Amino acid sequence: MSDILEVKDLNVEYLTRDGNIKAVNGVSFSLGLHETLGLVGESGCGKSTIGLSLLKILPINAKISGKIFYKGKDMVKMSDNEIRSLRGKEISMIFQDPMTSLDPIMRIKDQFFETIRAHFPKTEEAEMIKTSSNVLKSIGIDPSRLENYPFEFSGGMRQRVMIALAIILNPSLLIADEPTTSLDVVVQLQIMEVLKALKDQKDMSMVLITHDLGLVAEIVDKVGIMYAGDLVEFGDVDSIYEKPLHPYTQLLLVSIPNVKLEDRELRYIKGNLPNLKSPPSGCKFHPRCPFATDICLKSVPPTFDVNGRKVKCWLYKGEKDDARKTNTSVG
Amino acid sequence: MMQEKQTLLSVKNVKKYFPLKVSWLKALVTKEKPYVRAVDDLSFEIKYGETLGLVGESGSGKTTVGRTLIRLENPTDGHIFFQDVDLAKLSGENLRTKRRDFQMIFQDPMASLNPYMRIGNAIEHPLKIHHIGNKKERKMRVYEILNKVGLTPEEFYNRFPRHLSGGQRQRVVIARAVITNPKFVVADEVTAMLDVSIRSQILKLLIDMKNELGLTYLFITHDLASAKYVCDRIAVMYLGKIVEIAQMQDIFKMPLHPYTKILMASVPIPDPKLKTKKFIPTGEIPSPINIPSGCRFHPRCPYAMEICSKVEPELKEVDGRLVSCHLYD
Repeated sequence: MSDILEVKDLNVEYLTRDGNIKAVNGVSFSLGLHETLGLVGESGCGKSTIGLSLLKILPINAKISGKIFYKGKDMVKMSDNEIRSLRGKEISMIFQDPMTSLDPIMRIKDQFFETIRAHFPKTEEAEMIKTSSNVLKSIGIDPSRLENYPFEFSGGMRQRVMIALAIILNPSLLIADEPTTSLDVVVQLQIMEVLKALKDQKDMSMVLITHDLGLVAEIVDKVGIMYAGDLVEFGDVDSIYEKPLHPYTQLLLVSIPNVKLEDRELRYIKGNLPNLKSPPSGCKFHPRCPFATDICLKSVPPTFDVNGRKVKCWLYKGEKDDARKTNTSVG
Repeated sequence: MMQEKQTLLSVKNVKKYFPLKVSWLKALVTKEKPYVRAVDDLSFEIKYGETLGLVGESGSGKTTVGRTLIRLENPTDGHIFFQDVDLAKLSGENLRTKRRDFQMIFQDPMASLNPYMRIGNAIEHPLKIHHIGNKKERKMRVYEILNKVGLTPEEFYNRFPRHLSGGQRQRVVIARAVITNPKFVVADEVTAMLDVSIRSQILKLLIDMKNELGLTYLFITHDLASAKYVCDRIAVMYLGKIVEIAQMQDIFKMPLHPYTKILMASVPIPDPKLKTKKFIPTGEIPSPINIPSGCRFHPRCPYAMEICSKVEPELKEVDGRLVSCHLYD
């Protein structure tokens, strides 16, 4: 199997005192070696929950079902010990806010050492310093800063340290959950360049979770668009941006403010994001969808396969001869 | 549109320095007091019915400008003429009565609404403070304004902020800001906390409110793309100074100041085909305590020359706009 990651019918539900919240709803996708996937959606769409599921670090009230094959092994069924040996070494993660993800009272150096020793307990200090220095250098930070504490770094530098920590053991899969959201526009661009360079230099697959369709356009190979727990569209980045199929993707693409001067007409999606405790019937997007018909209100659309892309929308029922109800992955 | 555009707000050499805490011993030894120079000698004008965008990274002082203009901060120095009244000199009751003419919309709608106050009461509150109308009239006015911002009054009047989504909350905050019929509104990163699909809705609402109520905006944002839809003119700020101020079209057609160019290049474009080599800036915004000598931008500027580290450029007219850069000397 050439896919490094295959997610099949993943469901995650948060059990809360006032009702259960279905955060991820039957999501299936796959990711090949050295491929980069952008998971795009707004708050509450379940994109971060998927990210957490891939490391199995979901909160305690989460109920997970389905299958997540990592290099052919089902992570959902793995024991805690097996998972622990993967975390940080095989699969690692970059979080949104670097200040809360780094230990404020530990020197950067010690945080690197801790990560290395978690997997290779007998590593010599000299060797660890060498590896850490190299990683820091590759990401644009002077190795002398290993002695510093997180508060001595600026926001962008801190995020670089986070990235360095995540890649120090050469993981095969890197999950970046909104890595630039808490940063300024200019710094955001710098961090994206770092990630882009990583993608080119290392043998690594990446899952980039973001709310910004514009940000991932340049770096990813595949895009998954999420809405209210559903993966509504999945496919190649070029084809999705060129000809978005799902109405939500279409509307999302035209409603992003862009810098092209000629276009000053503000377009937007009417309505609000649904409450996941009581989601709309049928297709969850139907109250905001300009193409909604009776069937959208009544029944949940299956995922249709349209020219190698997956779309969860009734509009594409019987669209093409090869369109069929699928649970199989595109890849 | 005003036929004859008169100046509503004229800012002259406004400074806002925040003193830093120094131990008394150090204060005895050194004469010089350290300051955070958040706003350093700013001058600009805003005309009636105009929207001026104030763009820059965090730490550039744009929020402090907004707060100082409406006297949420006292300026260290300078004048703020609002219809010929110098706001910088007003105090006490005079300032309070003037406040109904200018309002501010903040970034985080949840933090700017009292969680224990019903939506209706929250919106009514400014009317109470300024003793406008009686109870019945005030309620009528709240209903009217709720309709204007697109919230059904019957449904929302008695709700609490926690029942509302982010976008709806921001609508409430906007309603509260415009209920006293202000002339001038400072909108500080109003869409930064909102989801992408909600952002444009709120921008649209701001534009509609402006046209309907004849407002004048100072639109503070770090996002040049959304500024394009709302602003007539754009001022770019860097470390407490305006580096470029021009008509919106000019800035987008051809940014002059290197910093403006960098900001423009940083806006992500949703097109995978545009894998162009970008103009990647180096470094991050320096601390406003130790401001670089000469041009504040020179350590990060790809075009920096020798003069840039020595002489601070002045805001000068270049092709009908104002730019402060030695490249255009």
